[in-house]
Amino acid sequence: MKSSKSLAALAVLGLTVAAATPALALENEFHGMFAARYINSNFNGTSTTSFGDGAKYGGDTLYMPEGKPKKVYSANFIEQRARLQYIAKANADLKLVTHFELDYTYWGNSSYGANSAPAGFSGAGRNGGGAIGADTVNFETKSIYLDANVAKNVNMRLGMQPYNDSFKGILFDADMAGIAFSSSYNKFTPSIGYFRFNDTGVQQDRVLGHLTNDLFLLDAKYAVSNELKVGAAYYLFRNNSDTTNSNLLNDISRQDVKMSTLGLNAEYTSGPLTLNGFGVLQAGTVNKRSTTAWALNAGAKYKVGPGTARTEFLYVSGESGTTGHSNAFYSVFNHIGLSEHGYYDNEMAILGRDKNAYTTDNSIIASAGNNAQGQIGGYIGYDLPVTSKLTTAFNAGFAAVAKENANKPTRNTGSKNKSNYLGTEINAEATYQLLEGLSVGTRVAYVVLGDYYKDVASNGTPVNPYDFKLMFKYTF
Amino acid sequence: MKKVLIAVLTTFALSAGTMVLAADAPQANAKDECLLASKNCANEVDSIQQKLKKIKAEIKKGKKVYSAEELKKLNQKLKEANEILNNLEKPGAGR
Repeated sequence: MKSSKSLAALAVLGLTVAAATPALALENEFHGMFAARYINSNFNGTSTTSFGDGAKYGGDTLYMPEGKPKKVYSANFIEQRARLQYIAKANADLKLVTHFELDYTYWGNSSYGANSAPAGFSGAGRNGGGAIGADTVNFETKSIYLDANVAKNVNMRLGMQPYNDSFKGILFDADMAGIAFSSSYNKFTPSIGYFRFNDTGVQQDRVLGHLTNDLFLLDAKYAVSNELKVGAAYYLFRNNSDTTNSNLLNDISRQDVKMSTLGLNAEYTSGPLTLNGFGVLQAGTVNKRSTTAWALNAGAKYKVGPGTARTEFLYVSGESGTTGHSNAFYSVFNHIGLSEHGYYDNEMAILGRDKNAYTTDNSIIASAGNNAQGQIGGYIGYDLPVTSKLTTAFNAGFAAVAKENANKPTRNTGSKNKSNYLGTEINAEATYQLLEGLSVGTRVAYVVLGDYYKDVASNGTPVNPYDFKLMFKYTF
Repeated sequence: MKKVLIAVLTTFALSAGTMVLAADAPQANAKDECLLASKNCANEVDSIQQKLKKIKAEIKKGKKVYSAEELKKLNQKLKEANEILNNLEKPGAGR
């Protein structure tokens, strides 16, 4: 080969290697979580929650002691969950985010692919494989989306992504498919988005985009000062699909919802004090009923002594009638009767949604609208760090329904109780950091049931529910 | 001149491919901490706790080290890292 050709070949080889090197600079992020917990409870994993009439095993289930024996067996089981997240970062402005989940609802449930979940549970194999032999396909995809800064100060998220409202989760907080843009201009942070929750048109007329459940949102936050941040949001819910009726117990049917929701929120921090809260107003129609509904919240945290005292108050409107104008609050549900929203700031484990619940996820108030009954609740708590590795918390909650309606349980005599008081919860929690990333914790909760549940069991008043959890959690 | 150029280009072509491997090769007579204790591995990635620590440490350096725009970027990274942790620990069957 002539020397000029050799030179050219080497130059090409050198340039190719040099050009190939930057492609090896993709940044890989791996994160995950593993948790296993032992649960002993006469509430979770029993006939009044997980295996109740019409209950959808797998979570978000309402406490339903009506017609059951007043004393239920205590459940003992071990639940396991793992989450894996892989993020592929091409550069500072572009990444693909993926998130997966592997659950065993309880050790010993099924193996070799046999789906042991009761009828009504969606997804064969999901949450299964916890019995001897394992070997079950139970890999779930939670989210896969593109995160890109498409222009200066403009971020786009496209795909199945986690998204929540700006009102402590009382409207929506879930993985949802859509497109969302957010921006940041000095103190102003606006967002705009569209999400397709459901498309059930294949069942009727065999066409997509025909029977859908959609959300359009506008959201904005403004930092008035270092101490005060305010926000406002507009959400338009349009549901014309075969999904869950937000006002009835366990009703999945053709919905016709056009609901506008306008909300304001604020947070003020000064020294040891943090105040926050929101007001939400809804107007629209739900299944041919004109509807006006509202929700109010106030929360406070105050550093006192070695820890922090907390308080929360939540009011959600309810509706007593079945015809005419309604005040029932509308929130997002999926197509199998489970809520895709959740309020956790009250730190309850039985009275409200439990922040430590995984697949087994039951509560007395399981949705914001509470089957059109609404809710009124006051909650107090204290976070007490004991050492650098040991933290504790103590909480109490008091809740009632806002309006009695046909969804209220009936006494074993056939009438309904006059009281709307659901119950009083006390709970305590301790968490110890065993190693970096690995913690062991315990939480005990006990509820004194209110007269809302008096004599609704087949043979008297249900015994007061309790829940005990021993939890191991590794996050990386 | 051409011979020199050929030699330089040859050296470059060969070294670029081996540069990425150099970081993995342990020094002679030194412990391989990556094998022994999973420390100082060339391709290790940060856990979410390490990522949060690093970002907070950088933000703490403040305007002495970073411009206002850079601090804004770091605060955004902190917000994203906290979102990752929240999403990993989110409760419930549906979420």
